[in-house]
Amino acid sequence: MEANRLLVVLLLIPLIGQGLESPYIPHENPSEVGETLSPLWLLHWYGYILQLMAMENYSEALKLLEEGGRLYIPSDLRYLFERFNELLLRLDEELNETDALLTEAYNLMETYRLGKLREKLEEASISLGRANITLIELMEALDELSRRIGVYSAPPGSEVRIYYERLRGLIDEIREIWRRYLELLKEVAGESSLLVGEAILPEIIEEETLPTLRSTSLSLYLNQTHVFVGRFVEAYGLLESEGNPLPNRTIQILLEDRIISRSETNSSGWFSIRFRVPYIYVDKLRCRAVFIPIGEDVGIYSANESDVVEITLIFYRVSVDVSHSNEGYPGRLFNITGRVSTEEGVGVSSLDVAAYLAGVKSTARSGDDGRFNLSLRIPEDTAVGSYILTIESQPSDVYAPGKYSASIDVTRAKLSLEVEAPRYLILPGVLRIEGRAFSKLALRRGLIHLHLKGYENSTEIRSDGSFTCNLRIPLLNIILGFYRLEVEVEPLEPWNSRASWRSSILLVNPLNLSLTLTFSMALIYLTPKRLRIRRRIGREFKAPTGAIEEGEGEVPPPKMVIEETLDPVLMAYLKALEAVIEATGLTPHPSETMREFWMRSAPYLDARSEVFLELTRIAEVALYSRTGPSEDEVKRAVELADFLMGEAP
Amino acid sequence: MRVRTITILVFANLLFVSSLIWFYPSTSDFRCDNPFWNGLSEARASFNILEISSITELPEEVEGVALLLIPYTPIEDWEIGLLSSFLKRGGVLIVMDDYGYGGDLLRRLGIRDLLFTHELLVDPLFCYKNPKLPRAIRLSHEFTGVKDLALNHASTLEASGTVEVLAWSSSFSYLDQDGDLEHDDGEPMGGFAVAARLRVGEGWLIAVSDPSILINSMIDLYDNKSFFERLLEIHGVEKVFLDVSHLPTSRLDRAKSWLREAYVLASSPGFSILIITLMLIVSLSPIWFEELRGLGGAEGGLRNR
Repeated sequence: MEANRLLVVLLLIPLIGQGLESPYIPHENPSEVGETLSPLWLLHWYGYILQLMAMENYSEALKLLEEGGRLYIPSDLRYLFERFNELLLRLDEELNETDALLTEAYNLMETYRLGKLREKLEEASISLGRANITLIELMEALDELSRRIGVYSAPPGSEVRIYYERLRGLIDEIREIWRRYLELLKEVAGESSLLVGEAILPEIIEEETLPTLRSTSLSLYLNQTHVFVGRFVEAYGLLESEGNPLPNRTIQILLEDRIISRSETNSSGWFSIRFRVPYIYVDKLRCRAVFIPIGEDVGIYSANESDVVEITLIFYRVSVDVSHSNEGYPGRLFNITGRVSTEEGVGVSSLDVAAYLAGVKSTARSGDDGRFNLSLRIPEDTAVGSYILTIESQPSDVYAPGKYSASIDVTRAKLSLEVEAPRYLILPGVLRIEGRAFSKLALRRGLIHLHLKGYENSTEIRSDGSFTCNLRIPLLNIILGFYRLEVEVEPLEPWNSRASWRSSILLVNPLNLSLTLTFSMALIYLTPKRLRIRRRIGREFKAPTGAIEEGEGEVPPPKMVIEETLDPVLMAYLKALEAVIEATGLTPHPSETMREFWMRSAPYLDARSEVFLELTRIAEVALYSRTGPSEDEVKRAVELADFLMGEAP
Repeated sequence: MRVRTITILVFANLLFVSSLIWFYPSTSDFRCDNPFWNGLSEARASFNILEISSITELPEEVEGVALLLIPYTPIEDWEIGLLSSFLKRGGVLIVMDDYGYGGDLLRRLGIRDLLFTHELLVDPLFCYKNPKLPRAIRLSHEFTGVKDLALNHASTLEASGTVEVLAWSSSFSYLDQDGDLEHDDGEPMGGFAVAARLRVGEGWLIAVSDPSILINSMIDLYDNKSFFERLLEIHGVEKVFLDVSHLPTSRLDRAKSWLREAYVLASSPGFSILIITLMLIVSLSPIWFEELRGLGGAEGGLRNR
């Protein structure tokens, strides 16, 4: 038996498995996929980067390296990979920086700006030194990475080994570039030392190659050091060499690092220049004069620059004070009122003010008191979200630019809905809903969609926001139940949001309901009643049956036993019933009670109907009453039965 | 007695098996009620995807409506007509296919500039764990904040003309045409388009060369969810319908479908009445039989008397 059960279970397992089996789809569960890394492709990747670096295309190499963070590397190799990437990134930056510094130094040397040249050459020297260390570390890291990804276990001549050798070759090429940079550094340092007259990088440049230059001195004075922007300043000074003025030499005036004017020294070595202070709204500007030997002066006089003279700029700082809503709506105007004023609170008139929001620009000019009004129409297709509102006042003469920015939520106005809908609907029928939609902004056009159990209808909203919508629902295959009723509002104005309203409605199918009720009634009322009658009669049968079996010792036919052993009253009733049937020709229906049968037979019994009624009443007491009939009633029942039987013919 | 016992056992077993089939979640790929790794239950929860068993169930008003189609079975001619009309009226059709009937669908819709290559995309570097799970690493500027799209045994697209590519695989990816997972001479190298769109009438046709990006085990990988979210957003989609009539079906799903059909049939008024009648007959029959026997006995007794 146990073995059979086991067999059934074993048979069921493959059947259930087959039932759950799905057709083949070409995909797999990523959480169950094993991690794999192709060494060849990784070397291929690094080959690309090193190739770019060897071509001195550092920016492209950097881009590729930054993308390297997105490569999938198994967790056990991740540290090594990240370290290798970090070294490559560092080398790329250091070589790029050296390249840029050397280029800059070369340009400085060309323009004889020797003060900065020294600084740049020193930086280039440091950067180059760092790149040398990084190259050594990179070679070590490449060895370790190659060992871990199985390059050394690959047979000689295999693709992996070829790629690895190529990688080493590329690193050697980068080493060559490094050497070239070193040579360039030496070259620039050497040439600039010739200009300055001293060794710029003494650890690299040998002193005996340097010629001796005559020193120069250059002074600079300004007629005013506190000046409004846009106003003129006069600069003058003296160029000398070992106490002798240098006439007819070109002097450049630089504000910060920008040449703004040039002048020539007179016969006394003095120069004088008038220049306009640019409209730059900063606190201070550094001014200096520069002498760069050109022509025959090269190799004789050293280049020089004056001490820095600071110019304090005077201008009015402008503040932009605005008031506006913190929310904007697509398709609506966004209004701004504001004022531009100085720090002292004095309004600035005739300033151009521009506002930017969600890609839209609006401009205005400030009035007499500095006040302005701006309006921006936010585009209808603007996605909701947070946007930056920027308001700028344009600089004008002594007024600096002013700026204001704030975060604005571009949103849609929430619609509110008032809906009147019936609580129930008898099918088939028309569902009619009425309501009103309103928004804090204008709601002029829109559609109402009504959905119920897969049926839907749409209607337009009236100009006052009210609506009426009908939906015809046919006779559905249901008895009754609550279903979701959904009303959606779709505003056609871009500044209003969609809204919906949900409720439950009782749908009643009267046909199905009445059929169900009819059958249920039959089940509920008829069945228990019949059961009670049968049980009662059954109880009456039980006790006498046992007595007969014991007393007579033989089993009489069951129907006779039932008849003989019935309660005397019921026995009498049955006898009387037989007589009544014979007399009237009527028979009791299965669903008929004794009283109902009396009522039906009474018209045929004339005077005997009263007798049969009394017997019926006693039989009902015997059958239904908890106490049962009295002895007198039993006797009376027998008498009445006998009477009816005697009268019957 | 024996017949009655067997009948009860058979009915009890039928009820048990039916309940099991009814309540056990679907295990089929791309099903919204499948909570396992290959289902779309998470996508349904995130994007309110509604399953439809036929394209005819699409709403009349197609503005803001997207149909997600994963064509693993052939598309019928009448369906092509409906899809074409859906697109022309302004609907958004998202065809996600790798090795199914997506190419056939595009061809029959009259689209020449967009093709499914139906060849395996492999990326040994920009992938998730395994080259067969490649990633799209370059996305159209409209997908702000979306950097990577994880794919699963994906195919690629060939786009030309007015087709706008939305996502590309890396330049290290290649098409593994012979299936050996090695790059051989002649096998095309990336980047390949894996998502693209095209205006058709008033609507948009969007093709994605991998339907697996939305399955439960993939949707949370990298930016898959954000990608789909943004895809719906930029096309103004508010309702997404998933057509399940072209999805592969398991035995369990077939059984579920039969049960659903039986349920619908049983819910119809005619069958409801029939069932109620049968139940009443079955439940009342013992009483009727007993009554008939009783009446027969009583009448016989009276007659004997």
